[in-house]
Amino acid sequence: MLKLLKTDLILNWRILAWTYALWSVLWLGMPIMSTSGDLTFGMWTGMVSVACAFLPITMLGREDKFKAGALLCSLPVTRSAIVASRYVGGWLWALGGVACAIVVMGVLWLAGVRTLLPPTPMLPVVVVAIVGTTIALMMPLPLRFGIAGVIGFLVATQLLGVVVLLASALFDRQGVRLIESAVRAVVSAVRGFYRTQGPVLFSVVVVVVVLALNVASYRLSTWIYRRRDF
Amino acid sequence: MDSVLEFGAVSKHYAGFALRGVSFSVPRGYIVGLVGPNGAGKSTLIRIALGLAAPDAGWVRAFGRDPREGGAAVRARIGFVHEAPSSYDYLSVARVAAIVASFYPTWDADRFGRLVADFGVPTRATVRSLSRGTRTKFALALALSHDAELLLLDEPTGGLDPVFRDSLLDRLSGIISDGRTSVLFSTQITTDLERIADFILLVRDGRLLYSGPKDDILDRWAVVRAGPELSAELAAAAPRGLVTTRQGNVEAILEDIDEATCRFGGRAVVESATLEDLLLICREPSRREN
Repeated sequence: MLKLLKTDLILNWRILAWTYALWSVLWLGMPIMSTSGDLTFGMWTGMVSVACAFLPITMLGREDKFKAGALLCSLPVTRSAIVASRYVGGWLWALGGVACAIVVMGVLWLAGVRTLLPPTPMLPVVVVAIVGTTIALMMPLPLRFGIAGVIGFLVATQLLGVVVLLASALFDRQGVRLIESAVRAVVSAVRGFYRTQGPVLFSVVVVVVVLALNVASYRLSTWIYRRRDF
Repeated sequence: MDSVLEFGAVSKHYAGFALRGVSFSVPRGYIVGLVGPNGAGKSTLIRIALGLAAPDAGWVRAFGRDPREGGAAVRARIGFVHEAPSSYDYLSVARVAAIVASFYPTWDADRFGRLVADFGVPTRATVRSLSRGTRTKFALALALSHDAELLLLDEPTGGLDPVFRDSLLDRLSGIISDGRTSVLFSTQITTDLERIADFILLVRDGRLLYSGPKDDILDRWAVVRAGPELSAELAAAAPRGLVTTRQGNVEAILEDIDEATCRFGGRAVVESATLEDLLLICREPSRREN
């Protein structure tokens, strides 16, 4: 596992360094770009987390581009170890990006920029939830289909959105209303759980759910990767 | 004979290609040549042997274990050269070697240094800047530097100049002289196999058409070339197939040169078979060629 992580770091350190540097500039510039001054902490955290979560996915796609999977799988290492290193590495590289963003936020605060709300104790929970869920949902795709899988997934979700919008415009809005009600019910249940159980238990439950999602995703990825031919 | 690699009725299906019921073994301390035309299934067999692809049916044992399940322990004992070596193209040769070395407990850095120097592989150059031949040399250096007991070489001599090819063949002959190392070597350059192989596997259209000692072919087999009037008689006598040329002549492989001479001597040209004859002629009967 450590050898695989070290290999990934050797292979990708330039990409990581450049990405972290460019993101830091972007995060610094966001309050300035936000002319209305209403960039909220939640929006900022969401954007940072999603961007960071996609970093390991695109790194995997890059490996696929060089067809290096055949070389890796011909080495004396098990495929389950390769998959495990993808998940652990994915978390590390993603949280590295989040760490850069937090440093940038600190710099902004020291510089007196107040467009962002101060960090709250829920920040790590939000980050873990977004990063962990994205990695769990996306990771099997590049492991099975390479970067084409990720692009295909993103295009498919966009098309699905278009189809839903078209369907709601052309037909009655009952179906859309049902979806909206379902989403509202889930959000309401989560908020209710947070209010009644308090932030500590809420955070524990979120972390456990995200970990369970990642374990399930890892098992699925391992099953897929063991069957992949190179 | 102790076998380091065994295939039992292995089948594998891809769109437009299928490997069907292939069985063979690679004995310890010998070179086995895998010969066949493009698309015959040579690379698929080698990838299955390494565990890079899984058979749909049948079984594979490398050092007594399934290479898919045995994983790391099996591959630690195998050196592999891919037909089109893939690598981290943007890294230097030295950096890629360092990555590969970290996975092998038996890695011999001195030997790798000597090999890349002998092969003329520039260690500071990026992999993407290497020519196809130099990439293959680099892949060979990697495969030969961790004391592998089984070398799986997929068309390693394809992009190499004749001088290097010659020295590589000498090196492979030297490697197996310890009685411990075996080589499975796929190629279309049959003269390479005539020089170093102990056993031959002939594959065509996903089927294993011949598996046995090379000397049996070179010492005992015959190629018979005759006019069209002998076509039916030759077809009946040639279990390994018959080729009809555009001129209407027929060519066939017979397994006993003495019998072939007795039977067809005055009416056809009977010569000792070469591996190239085997490659060109051994096939499904009545396939038109040339």
